[in-house]
Amino acid sequence: MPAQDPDEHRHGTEHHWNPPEETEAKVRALESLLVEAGVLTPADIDQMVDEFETNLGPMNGAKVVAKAWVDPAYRERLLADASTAIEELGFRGLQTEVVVAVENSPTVHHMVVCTLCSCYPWTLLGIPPTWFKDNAYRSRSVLEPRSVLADFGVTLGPDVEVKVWDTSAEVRYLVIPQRPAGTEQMAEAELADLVTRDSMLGVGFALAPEAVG
Amino acid sequence: MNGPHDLGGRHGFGTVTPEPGEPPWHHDWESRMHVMALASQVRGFFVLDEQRHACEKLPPAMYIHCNYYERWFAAVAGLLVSKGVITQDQLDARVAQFLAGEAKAPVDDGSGDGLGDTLVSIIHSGATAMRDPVGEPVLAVGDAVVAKNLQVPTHHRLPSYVKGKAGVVTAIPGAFTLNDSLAHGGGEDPTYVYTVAFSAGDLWGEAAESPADTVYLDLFETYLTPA
Repeated sequence: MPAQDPDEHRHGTEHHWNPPEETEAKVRALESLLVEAGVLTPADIDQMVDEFETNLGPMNGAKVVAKAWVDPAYRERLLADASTAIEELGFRGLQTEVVVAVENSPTVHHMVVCTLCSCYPWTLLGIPPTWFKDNAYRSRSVLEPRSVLADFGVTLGPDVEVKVWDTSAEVRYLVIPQRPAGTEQMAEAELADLVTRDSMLGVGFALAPEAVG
Repeated sequence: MNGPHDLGGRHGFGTVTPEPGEPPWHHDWESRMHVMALASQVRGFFVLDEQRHACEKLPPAMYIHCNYYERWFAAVAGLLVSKGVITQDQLDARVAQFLAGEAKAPVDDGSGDGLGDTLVSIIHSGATAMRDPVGEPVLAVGDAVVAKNLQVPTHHRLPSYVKGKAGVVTAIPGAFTLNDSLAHGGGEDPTYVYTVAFSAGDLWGEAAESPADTVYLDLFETYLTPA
């Protein structure tokens, strides 16, 4: 029985301690002081923001998963040593140095959380979504993972074993979702379009081919 | 420390509310805060573990309620002041100017030294915390262990919900720099990390949704005792 009041904390992704315009002013002030001190330039920040927004995101992890689906030898390498296997595709990097891949099946379902902060494989999945960093997901995923999965519309049978990975040190986890039915004829690049961020965190499934047209 | 960050197993935080199509950041200042934190680490002002601990030490009510990057600002600005990179007076005065509309965002004058390139390079090359181990691991895969009842006000990575609980070592990822030490200005102290499986039944008793479910954590050797 979920001990949560469903009407509480339905404040979406925006919550603040100080008024947001105040926090914005503080961040702008900090940037201007660091620029004056010669620590960084506005262009340095722009360049890195652009890198995150353009080249880091779940499209990278999706390529890893799709390759594992079509290439049994790569799948073996990924499960044996994911750090090296993702490096083959150029996706090893900051906060993604030591990676373990875990594979979902009809009987085992893996999901990933960081209860202590917001550890996340940046170069495979990008910036973590707000829900991953919020109190509700961080507190409940280890205690009631099936209830959390229900919040995402995922229901597992009692015969499915749930394995939760709480990222408490410097190892990052990548969930390999099950390959959807009816995708036997699809090419690797098409398959990557079916692999969502949520499926690689274990709070969703890969999309059915009909879903992407 | 037993801080507000140690959220695993807490009740009362409500439902998870995914946002379809969520962008990486919701405000331009959030992305700039993210990069300023990384840049400060690359410049050597502090390490990630100090930033994490600075977050944990924020007033608990603020930690629980604040915007994620509001937390980063408080932690990073506090560290930059304590390290002498900026002063609190400078910061307060400049914030007041921005709030009063009397200050403008800085314009790039081309005086950079390539930090942007360095950051992009580091994001793709990584900065691994794995180190050559010193000696052999004390524990082996399959060993039964108990997580220590660690109650210290300093930084560590042992969540409260596993303290005193019994688990089994399932893997040995390697030796890593010790967060407990780096967060307090200490050395790297490379220490073995073990992946430890705890059964939901052992962690949560009758409250477990399914006692056979498993929670895995990566725990430093210093957090574990052989069972």
